[in-house]
Amino acid sequence: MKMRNNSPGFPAVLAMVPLLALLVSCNTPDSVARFCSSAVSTLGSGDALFDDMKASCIREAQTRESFGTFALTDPDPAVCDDIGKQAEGLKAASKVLLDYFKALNDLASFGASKAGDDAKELVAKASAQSKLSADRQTAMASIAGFLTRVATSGYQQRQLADDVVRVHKDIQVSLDGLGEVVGVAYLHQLQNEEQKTATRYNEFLLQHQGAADAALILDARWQNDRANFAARQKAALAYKAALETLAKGNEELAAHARGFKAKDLAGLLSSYAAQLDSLAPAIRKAYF
Amino acid sequence: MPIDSAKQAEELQQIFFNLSNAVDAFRLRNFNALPPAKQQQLKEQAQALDTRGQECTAEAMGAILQAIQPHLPNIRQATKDAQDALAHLNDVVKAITIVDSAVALVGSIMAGDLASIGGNVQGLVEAIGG
Repeated sequence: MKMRNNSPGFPAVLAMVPLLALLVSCNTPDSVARFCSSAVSTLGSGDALFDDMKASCIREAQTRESFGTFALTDPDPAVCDDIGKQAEGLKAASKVLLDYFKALNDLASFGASKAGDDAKELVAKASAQSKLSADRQTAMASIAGFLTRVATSGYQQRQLADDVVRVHKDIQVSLDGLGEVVGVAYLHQLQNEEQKTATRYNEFLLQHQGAADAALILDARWQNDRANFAARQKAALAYKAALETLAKGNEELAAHARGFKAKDLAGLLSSYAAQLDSLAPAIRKAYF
Repeated sequence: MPIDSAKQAEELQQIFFNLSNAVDAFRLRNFNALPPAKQQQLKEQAQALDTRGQECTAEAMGAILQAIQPHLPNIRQATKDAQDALAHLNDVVKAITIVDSAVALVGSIMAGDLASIGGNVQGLVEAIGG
């Protein structure tokens, strides 16, 4: 289609360009990117917890040994291997979710405005060689930049919405499952390990009644153990809470994905991202 | 109402751990009264209950993994779609860059600016190759 540069409507088009550009430069992909980035970080921190499931089982088996056994190898009960195998499967499932949020983050981080600026510059150069006046050249460049921005950001937002809406239930089920494993099954395991550790110390002192020095040494060791157990149990609960937050945020994202009310969505996702970020230190403290 | 095998396994896990710890607590409370053979027997029983609890841990994990697995192919597909969409957008940017370099080259040729032709040829080659 040939553009009529001298049509009466042309100045009106010029006036509309900044307004339309402002509308397109909404910060929806930015807020999605931040939320997805927090999701990637949260899911990544879960690997240490999954690794500790087998380790906790082995540590618990060690409490069955008497003090002074000086075993050269860790106990290796078959049941701990079973726990380790299931943990590996769950870790792989967590990686699938992590890859998903990373891909969304990458897509949301794509700079549509950069593509628009590139196109604008291109048309400015091309039209500089033509016989157009300076204001017409500027207008052509602005329109080209705007159209490219609309095309790329529209495509970007449509693809984001399609992905988020299509799999939000799958994401919900998977996050619920991972949270359940860590926040319930692993937590029970840790609580049992703590109980068995205390039993081992108590039994030793009953076998050596009146050994005050041994009691003091074991007490100091127990305080250290307790701090580790508390940190791990807190991490397990924080991870479960983080995945629940992530699931809620993802549901909100899916519910608003088609409408893209940028301002509202940005505020909403920012609060979820902030919650995820606030839970991360409790997880890191126990394992890193 | 469908049976939630993961929840059942978690409940059994907790029951076995509690029983194991109750046996330990009884043994330690009566440490001086129990003969060594009885002590050993109770210790082994507590360990057997404990092992059963850990088996329930593995069963709960397996049941949850089984519930998650049917959903993973959909998530993998959505991941691939997002990656493809990003590749497409990057192709758009690349196309703009290539055309941009071509325009600069044509401009140099039209203007007879011999000094900048070489640089613009290089820019075009890099844009296409990049």
